[in-house]
Parts: sequence; structure tokens; C-alpha cells
Amino acid sequence: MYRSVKYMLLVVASITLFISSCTCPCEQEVSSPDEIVAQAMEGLEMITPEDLKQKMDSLEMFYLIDVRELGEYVYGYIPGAINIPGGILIFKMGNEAFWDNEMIYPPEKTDKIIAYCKKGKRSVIAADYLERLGYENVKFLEGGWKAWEMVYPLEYEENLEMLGGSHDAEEDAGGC
Amino acid sequence: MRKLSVIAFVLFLPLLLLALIQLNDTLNDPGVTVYNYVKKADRNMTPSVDHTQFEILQQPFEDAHKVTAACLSCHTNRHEEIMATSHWRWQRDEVLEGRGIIPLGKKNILNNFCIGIAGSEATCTRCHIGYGWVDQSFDFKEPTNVDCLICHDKTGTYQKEKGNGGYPKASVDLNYVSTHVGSPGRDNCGVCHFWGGGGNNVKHGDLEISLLDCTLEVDVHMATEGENMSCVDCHVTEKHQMAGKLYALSSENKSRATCEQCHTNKPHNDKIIDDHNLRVACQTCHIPVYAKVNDTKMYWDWSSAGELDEHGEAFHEPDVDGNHKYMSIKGTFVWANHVIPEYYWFNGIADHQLISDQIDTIPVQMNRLMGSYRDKGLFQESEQPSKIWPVKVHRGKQIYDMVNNTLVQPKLWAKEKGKNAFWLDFDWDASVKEGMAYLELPYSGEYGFVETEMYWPLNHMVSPASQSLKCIDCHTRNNSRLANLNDFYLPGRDTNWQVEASGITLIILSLIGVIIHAIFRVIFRRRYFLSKKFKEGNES
Amino acid sequence: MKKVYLYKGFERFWHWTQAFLIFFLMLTGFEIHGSYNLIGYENAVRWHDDAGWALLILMIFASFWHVTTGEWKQYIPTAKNVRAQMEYYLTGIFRNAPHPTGKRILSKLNPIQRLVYFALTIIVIPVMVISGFTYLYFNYPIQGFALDSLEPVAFIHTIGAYILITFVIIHLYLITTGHTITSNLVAMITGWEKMDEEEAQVAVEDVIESTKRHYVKQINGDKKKKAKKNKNTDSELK
Repeated sequence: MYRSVKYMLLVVASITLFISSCTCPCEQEVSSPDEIVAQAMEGLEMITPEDLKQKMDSLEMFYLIDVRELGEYVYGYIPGAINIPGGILIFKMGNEAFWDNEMIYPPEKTDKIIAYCKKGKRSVIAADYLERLGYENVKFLEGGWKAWEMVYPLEYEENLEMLGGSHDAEEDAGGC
Repeated sequence: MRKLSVIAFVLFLPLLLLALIQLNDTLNDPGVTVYNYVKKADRNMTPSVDHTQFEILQQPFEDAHKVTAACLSCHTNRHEEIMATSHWRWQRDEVLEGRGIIPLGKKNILNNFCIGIAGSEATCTRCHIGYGWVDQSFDFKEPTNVDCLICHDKTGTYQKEKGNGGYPKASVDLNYVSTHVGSPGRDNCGVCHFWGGGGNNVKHGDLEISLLDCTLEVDVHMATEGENMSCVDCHVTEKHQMAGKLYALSSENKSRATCEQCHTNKPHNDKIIDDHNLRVACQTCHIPVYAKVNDTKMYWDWSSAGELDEHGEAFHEPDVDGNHKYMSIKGTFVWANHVIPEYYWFNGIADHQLISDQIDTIPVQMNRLMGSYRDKGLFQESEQPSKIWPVKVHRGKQIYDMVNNTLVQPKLWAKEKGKNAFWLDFDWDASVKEGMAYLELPYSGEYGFVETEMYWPLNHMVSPASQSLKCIDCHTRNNSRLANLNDFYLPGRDTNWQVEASGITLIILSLIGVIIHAIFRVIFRRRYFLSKKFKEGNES
Repeated sequence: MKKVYLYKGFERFWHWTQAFLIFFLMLTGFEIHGSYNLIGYENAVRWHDDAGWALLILMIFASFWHVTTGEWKQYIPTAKNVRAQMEYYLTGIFRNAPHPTGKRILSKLNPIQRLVYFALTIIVIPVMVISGFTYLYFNYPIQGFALDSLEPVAFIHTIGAYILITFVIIHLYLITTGHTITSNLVAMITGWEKMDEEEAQVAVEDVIESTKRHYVKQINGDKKKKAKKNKNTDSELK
């Protein structure tokens, strides 16, 4: 009886090993984009709007990157943020010409970088990519632009001229 | 034989477990049984009366008052019913805790949206069910001042004019409208209740134009593909008195329109879930998110209002989603969609910050939902226990009197410039002076802006049952929806760190003890086998 | 070597079912506590409730059995030999010393076991059952006993759970201190424990004595009475 028990245990152990090896996050398919975000978030640091404001007020040196599309950025962005849409982010980070154009020094791998998007998800993936590129000091803004807006609705810059077109006709005297 | 029995014994327990799990997993879904409601398919929906056949409605109507007179020629006492309601008076006598009975309503209450109507009646009364309320001289007793058509129009063509005290637009064909009347639908109620605050979904968050034609995902009751219920199906109306409360204006726990009225308080066919109804409102689990289609306004900062463009004209700027981000007349806004509600204890009683009240907390609580965990209603006086409710909280900054320490009412609208209306003249001081004088209330001359909060309990945009909250949404240590409601112990969310620490220490210590003991036994056993004694013992 | 029948059928059934139920209650209980996510919160609650009821029913049966068979006497705690037993576990076992108290059919538990099991039966288990009921019927209190907050109940129930885990760990280890590592385990499965000749002798001697005393009584003084009875029946038959 003991031999068959031993064999059974061996089989069970090997099955368990096999299954556990399949849980490597690298190749496994996920059932929803939120799972990709959740996986990317592991090991990433986040920052709240209040802490970000504190950093800004303290004149600390850091890169604030808005990873939304240009068409979202111009309507309102956190003061001092540079717009690098998520799709081209990893390609622009090391691009000297790009940073020359922005008139900003290209970020070192040790520089502080904070990424944000509209609600937080895109910035998680962006921050994850930045870490993989070797940037050591990357954070993402919890809740994104929408969270910032709720806490500091008057602290924003916009660039509507970039959209072209003229302002709407003058406002009528309010009311319903 | 014994081996077999051992094997059977060992296998039996896991098999039993599996079998029992299967049994439990089959959720029996008997379908939804409702009481006090007859499905539309089972009702005779054809109207009993054909109003096109009445001559009195074919006459040319000089003005809207004449239409009302025609209606009243048959529906002779309806104006009396109307004049007793809060839809007409825009106020209702209600008890405010500690203050007695106070007449309260849109007429005199302050909110943190457009603040109040005083001084701007002519435009605000576009949503009044009457004609001609442009100032304090409006005759609330005149029967023909009632607007029957706004609620009963079934043509969809009846519209009230802007800034004209509630009169219909000149383009409306009053004969056509008055001969096609019926029970109010979502469009009748929605034309005002969806657009409150100056735009679609500004105020409620869960009431907006998408409900006119939506899917079951958005609202299971009002979906066109479902039961397609109208507002009055739940807000049952007797003699023009509608059941239901809006706690922006109301304060007493009476005349509620509740889920239990149709669904009973045990609709789940499961004791554990039904028991939640003792402390958790139905809405909490069944409205997991609001503003599902169009954005709702979450923040309104009046302090930045008044900026004019290079021509000295008012302007507005959109945000990325197309909502107004900034308006010269109103200030800066923040919008959001798919918003997760905030949760508060609520027992159906609310308090209000009246214009005469001192500001004693910041942010100013425009209305306060009363309730707490301890208010259990059991063996206690409160008949309606406090339950956890989902709430939209609208935050903002609005104008107040820095010396008198009260909120103030500025005059916002006028037909032309020079009347001190802020929306045309952009002078805060003048507007507040004008507004407060209109109300015969004092104003010190010094104004500032103060943070405010207003609470809107959610009742609409009920999600399908499959999307209701699951246990883990609240009973979890991280990211619990009730993370901020911590005046009570919630299993799964709360722990006592001392208990955890001592418990885990106990376990670790016992594990260490056991391992050390085992190691020593192994060592000493080996020693014993190698020892002289044992060898001698064996040899002999 | 001899085998002695120590654990009867019901006793073993009770032991293993109770062990399984307690383990299961722990597993589901700590999920409800929020320590981890295994079978889903809803399932954890339902299973914990059902297992709790099952355990209660089992304990009622077991209590009945213990009382009617007299087995309850095994659990009476004693101060005698407690010290000796502690010394055995702390030092004696390493020197391969003999157990200070051998297993006997009428006394299967060593003094420390008696103390611990007594404490469990009188304190820990009742506290867990009562706090469990309070949890279950928290929203339907008896007037006068309505608790304001669930916190003290949770406090007690959680502490009890941690104590039970500690007990299980130590118990699982100490059962390996028998004759061989598995001898106690095999005994609790099959009922039979291997012992050598002398130990087997000691194990059964007082149960034999007790059985003798229990089933056979001296009836010297009653010879006359019996003779009278026979006489009477005989005369009736005549």
C-alpha cells in the first residue's frame, strides 16, 4: 500500500508543479484589459493629487508627463506637464531631438518621473514601461487628471488655441 | 477489508464536499415577483378619452391661461389639488429637527448649484408648473395660472420659453397639445428633472436624458426594451400628490417611494442577503455606479466666475469630453461619468443650511443626511433605522457674507444689463446687495467664497441584478466601498491589530517551538542509535 | 508486540469529523475575516454557517455518547503527574525516557492532554459557539441583550480562532510522540494501538477489573430469598 501511496503523491506533486509553472504573468492570456493594468501596477508606486501639489509647490525637480492624446491634453492639463501620448512614450523618452524641441533636458534614469492620464489606467501601463526601460524613480498619479480636477479645479493650464477655430458665439445671459 | 474502508473513508469527505458545493451553487432564480404593480402588458393602455372631440379645446387660444381655463371647465377642482402640492407652491411645511415646522422648498432654499431663485424667478420658473411667476407678486391662488400641459402633453412639442416666467413658446400649437394629453411619461417629468442646474445631468447624477430611451444596463425599470416604466409608476400620484422625496429639499421621513413597496423587503429568496436590508438600502447594492451615459457635474466653483474675454464679453471653455469646463457666468466645473457613489448612514431625515443659518462647519453642509450606525430602530424610538445609502456628493465653492457668516443669495438673472444681475453685469457685490435686499435680509458688504457640500441620495439608474455589488465589494480589507464609513465593525474589512499581532505571534511561536522540538528529537535519536547503550543493548 | 483496541468506532468518527469541521471552519472563517480570498466571500459565509451548525449537532451527539458510555471520565483533569509529563516533553523525550503515564483503556489521556482538552471543552469551544451565535443573530437580538457593536464579538471569536490554530499545530506535532511517529495516528484511524507485552497488560488491567466489578456482584445474602421465591412458584404450579 505504501508504494502506491508514494506514487500517487509523486503524481500529485508533479501536476501541482506543472500548473504553478503556468502562472507566469509574462505569456499568459488575460481576460480583460483591467487585468493587464492590475499586473502592471504590481510594484509600482503611486502618488496622490495632494502630494503632487506639495511636490510642485516645493519646487522639486521632477518630470510630469501627461500620457493622454493631444486632443485631450489641450483642454486642460496639470501646470508644468509635458504631453507625450502613451503610444509614442517609450520611443520619445530616449530621443534627443524630441527633448531639444521641448527645450528640456532629457531625463536621466535616476530622475523623478510622474505620469498621469485621464483616470489612471493608461499611466499605470506607461509607468510600467518606463520602469522596464530602466527609469528607477517612476510614479503614477492615483485617479489621474479627473482626480486632480476634483481636488484642484482651478489649478490647470489649457491650450485651446492649438485646436484652431474660434470661440463660440457670446454666451447668452445664463438661466435655463 | 480494512484497506478498502480506509480508502472509502478518505475519499468520502472530499466527495461529500464537492457534492454539497454543487448543490449550493445552483442559484434558484424564480424571476422577479412584484406587488402593487401591474405590468404594462397586462394593462389596458388605451386612453379612455379622446380629447380631440371636445370643441372647447378647438377654439383659438389667445394665451396659455385660456387653455387652463378650458381644462378646468371639465376638470373643475383639479386646480385646488395642484395648489396644495409642492410642485405648485415650490415649498412645503416640513419639520426640521430642533427648529420646528419650516416652509421649505425651491422657493427659498439654497443649494450649491445655481444657489437660489430669489431675484431670478423669471428664468428659473421655466420649470414651474404655472404661468407668470416672474417676481414676488405672482398670484398662487389664480386657477388659470396653472400649467396643465407641461406634465400632460403627449405630443412632445410643448416647450416653455426661456426667461419668461413659464409661458410656452410662441411656436407651440396649443390646440394640438391640449387635445393630446395623457398620463405623464418620462419626457414630461424629465424636461425639468433631467435638466436641473442648467444642463443635462448637472444635479442628480442618476436622472438624465439617456433615460428617455435606454438599455437594461442603464436602468432596469425605465429601459425601453424592458418594462419601460414611467416616473409615475413608482412615484404613485394621488390627487396630484406624488410619492417620493428629494432630500435636497425635504427633511422628513414620510411619503417615500420605496423599493419595498413593490419588491417587499425579502425579495432575494435568501436569508443572508435579505438580512442586509436591515442596515443596507436596496439602492446601495443595486446602484453600483451612476452617470452611466452622460457626465454629471461633481464640482462647481463660483469663485472663478466673472472673467471676460478680450472684448469684455462672457465666454465659455469646453473640457475634453465636451462639457463646460469654465463659464464666465458660473465659474469652473468638474464633470465625471461612471461615478462610484459615496456611502452614508441615512434614516430619512435631513437638515438644511438655510439662508438665515450661521456657517458652523466648513465645508458648509447644504443639506445634512441624518443617521448613524447606532440608529438601529430596534427597541428604540426611531421607526426607520439608519441604512447605508449611496449618495452623490456635489462639492463646490459659493458666495457668502464674511461678516454675518451666512450664505447669501446674489441676483443672477435679469432681462437686461444694469439691473445688478451677475450673469450680465459680473459685479458680485452689486448682485449680492440686490439679491439680499430683494429678500429683505442683511448684507454686510463683505463677501467671500466658502466650500460647500450637498448630498443627493441615488435611486435611479438601477443596474441589472447580475451587476449588483458582490460581498467582496464591501467585505474586503482593501478598496472596500465602505472604507470611509468606519463607525462600525464590518467583518472582512475591519480587524483589531492587537488581536492579529498576538494571534500570529502565538502561531509563529508554536511553529518555532514545534520545529525546534522536532529537530532536537531527530538529533538525539540519531545520537541514541549511535550510542554505546543501544549497540550494547542490541548485541546482547 | 500486541495490539490493544483503544478507540471505538464512534469515538474515531467523532474525532475525524470534528477535526475536519474545525479545520473547515478555520479555513472559511479566516476568509470571512478578510485574511485571504479562496472560495469567495459569499461561499465562505454560507459554508461557515453550515459547518458551524454541523459541528454543533456533532458535539451534541458526542456529548450524549460521552455521558452514556462513561467516557466523559477520561477528561477529568488531574494535577498528578502534570509536572512529570511536562518534564518528559521538555527533556525526557530526548533521552528516550519512557512515558510517565502509559495509555490505559480507562485512561487514554495524559495529564496535560486532560487539562488542555478540559479547557477547550469548558472555555474555548463554548465561547466560540456563543460568539458564533451572536454573530449569526446579531440583528435579531433578545430584548435586553442587544449589543451595540459587533466589535467585541469579533474580538472574542477571532482570539478563539487563533487559539484553536495554535492548539491544532501543537496537537498535530505531539501526536508524533507515541511509540513510533505514526503509532498514535494509526490508532486513531483503525482503533488499534501497537504496544509491547507489558504495556498491553497495564492497558487492560483496570478495565478488566472494572468490568468484573460492573457485571458480576456478590449475592451471598440473597440465597434465602431466592429459595423462598422458588418454593412459592413451585407451589403455584402444583
